[in-house]
Amino acid sequence: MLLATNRLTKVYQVPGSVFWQPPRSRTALKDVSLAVEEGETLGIVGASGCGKTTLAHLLCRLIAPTSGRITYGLGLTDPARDIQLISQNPYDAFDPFLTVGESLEEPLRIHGLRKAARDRIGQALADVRLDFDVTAHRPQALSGGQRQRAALARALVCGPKLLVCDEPTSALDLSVQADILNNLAELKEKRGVALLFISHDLDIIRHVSDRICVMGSGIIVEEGMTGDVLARPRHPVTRGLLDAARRT
Amino acid sequence: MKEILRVENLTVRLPQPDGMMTVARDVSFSLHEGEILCCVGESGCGKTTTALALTDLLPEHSRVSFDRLVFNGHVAQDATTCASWRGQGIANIFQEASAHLDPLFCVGAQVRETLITTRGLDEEAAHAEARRLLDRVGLKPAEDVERFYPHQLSGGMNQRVLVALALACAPRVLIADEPTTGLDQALRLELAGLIKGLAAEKGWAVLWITHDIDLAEVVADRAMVMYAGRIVEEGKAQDVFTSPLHPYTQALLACRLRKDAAGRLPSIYGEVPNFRALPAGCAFHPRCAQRLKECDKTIPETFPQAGGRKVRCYLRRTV
Amino acid sequence: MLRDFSKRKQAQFGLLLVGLFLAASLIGPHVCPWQPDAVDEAHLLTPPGRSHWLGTDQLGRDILSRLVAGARISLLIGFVVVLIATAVGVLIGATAGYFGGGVDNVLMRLVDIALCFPVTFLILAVIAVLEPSTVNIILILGLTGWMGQARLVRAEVLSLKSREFVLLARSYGASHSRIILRHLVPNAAGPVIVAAIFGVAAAILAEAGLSFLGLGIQPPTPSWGNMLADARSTLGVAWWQSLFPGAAIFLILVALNALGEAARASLRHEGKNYERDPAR
Repeated sequence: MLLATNRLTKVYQVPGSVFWQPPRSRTALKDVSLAVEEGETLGIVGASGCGKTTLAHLLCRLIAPTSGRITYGLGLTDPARDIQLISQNPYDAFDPFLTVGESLEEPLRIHGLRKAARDRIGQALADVRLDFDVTAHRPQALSGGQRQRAALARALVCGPKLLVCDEPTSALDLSVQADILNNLAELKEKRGVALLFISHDLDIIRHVSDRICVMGSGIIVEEGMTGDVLARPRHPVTRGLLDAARRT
Repeated sequence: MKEILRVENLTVRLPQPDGMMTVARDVSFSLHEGEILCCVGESGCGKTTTALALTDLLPEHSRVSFDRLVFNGHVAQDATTCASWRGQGIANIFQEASAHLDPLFCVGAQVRETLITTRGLDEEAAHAEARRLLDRVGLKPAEDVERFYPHQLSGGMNQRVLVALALACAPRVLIADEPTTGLDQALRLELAGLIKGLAAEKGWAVLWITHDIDLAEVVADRAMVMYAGRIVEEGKAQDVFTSPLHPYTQALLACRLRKDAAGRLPSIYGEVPNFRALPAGCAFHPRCAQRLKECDKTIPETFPQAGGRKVRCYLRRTV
Repeated sequence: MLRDFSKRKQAQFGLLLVGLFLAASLIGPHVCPWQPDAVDEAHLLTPPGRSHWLGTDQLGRDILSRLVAGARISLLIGFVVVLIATAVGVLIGATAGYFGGGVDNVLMRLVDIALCFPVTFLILAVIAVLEPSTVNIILILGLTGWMGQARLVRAEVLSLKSREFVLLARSYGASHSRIILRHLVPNAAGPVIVAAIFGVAAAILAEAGLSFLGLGIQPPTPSWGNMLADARSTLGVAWWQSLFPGAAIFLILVALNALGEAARASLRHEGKNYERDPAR
């Protein structure tokens, strides 16, 4: 077991529209309990607003839960290093002020792995099939697909155990999407990294995931092995997603 | 079916920090009453630029040139003629509703404004008609919805408001640029169904731009595929999507995730070329598995095929 | 962006003028035949001529050498004041913008309080207690001029901190200081630089005003401001005594404003000429 959550809940306090009004609360996530095993791909699927991104941010420790906890297994000694986030928008994933090389080096500096920096970066770039000379360029010089691959490389330099992918292909073209998905499959095999793959696209989730969790309105409505859940959906939310996917 | 809009050899150049850049070249197509023409292509292929050029909505300093541009019998002299067609016969729906609605006015007021400006209705008539339009696009009850501001409505609802604004113009041509992108799957289909239904009911000629091939398959009557600023294939939607003739179309369709897809997914080798460094000859040839000797020498012309199809590829050259 | 900036006529004009002033202030004192406070009793209040190119004041001091010495003082004060103001402003603004909440509230109220201080009276009070040395003037102007930068930086940081690359940096363990110093501040630099350029102009003008009132640089050290003060009594009879310091102030301000406007336009990619089609 790499990571497990126990009744993870996140409630946002939204201030009232005028200053004397009491704040209203919005429950983004409620009692979410899931586990990710080593080397597996767990798919999280649901419509927009169901709390998938909130879950991703909680797992990457960008926000703190209102209640519930995250337990790290023996494989995850340093969450900041061993869990890496791949985000949806590749066009904003890099600091425009730094070169790609400087951005790739930053996680290594933070975690004290600078000694073998060049090797690690070289290996990561090779794994995502980018030329080493992209390190000299600014991110603006790369296409969307290249930037997402560079973001993947940055996530790989520290040798993570878990990649949290939050809609990594939604902003990319069809042909590039296939490339990235193929790449992720290769990385899983080569580096043995586990994936938490979040998407609203059922076809993608079906293709990449070993197990899936279907989410709706902040809770997990159904979970299980991908094939089982999608062949015999029990919850109306799951059925709704399948219907929409089937119609196109 | 009557031809409403005819475009011949449209070329568009956009201003960039380092000089003008040609983004669309020699684009030719026509729109017919009651017919939906889908323009399909990946990001940066020039489809949005083409759409914006038709009603002169390009950024300042852009340069548009064409051999012929005719709308409803009116021949355009230059870009300013296109500007006069805005709202007067040609309506636009864009991608991000929140960016195209004024946050300071409630949606009812925005629909009324369009009615008053394009159709010259008076206040009272505009009020009634606006409510009717909001109802028609599924925003019920209209009396309540019309008082909401864009930030109080969801993305899908705002997109419907854009459809209402298009309806308000009583157009003959609708240009829809990715109207369903960013919405959930279910909403996407609903909205597409709404637009398609309205188009059939009003007999609109529709230019529907999308990068979502699955959606295009559902809505299109005819389809055209763009790559690196040129149209590479055109024909009846069914023909193009089931038996594509251009290698790019074939490769693109193969990339789609099929339900039974397993293992490695097909992708297209290489990258979309930079507009400033297009390959010599056919822009797709470096990535094409079927290229011939002449593909890197000269740009192929559009060769007509059977069934009203056209392909810009030497493989289909008609002697 | 630097290329675009250097192509603009405003920028070239501004750089040229400022460059001239800088060169004059650095080389001038070594080249000028007269010392700024040397008295030439044979030539009291003489108009521009062969021995004194820009004339002399009522005490027989050469206007040109005093002008050049004054340039040194004015430019020094202008740049150092802005350096201090920007440093303090960026620190406070970035911290407030990044941490938000209580920290933001406290710091911004500090800014509000600082803005309430009438600078002139503060300076008067300080002068009454301490001596009006160059250092003191720089400190006072610097410590009363950081608020604009603070607000500017805070606004930039507020919008930058929700950018994807900042979120990602936090997720792979970047510390707060690393994010602020390495990611937020460099990306917020644009408007800060523009404000700084205008700030130099404002500081030079402020110093000139103070010196004119006798609260700034004290004679015999020449400053454009106190040269104008000296010229007050001879306004009708010696046009050269007030014209040249006045013109110097005017020109440096025009130059700095041109630089600032060019920088602002470059930042916004304004008004480009697109007719150069790349050869295809």
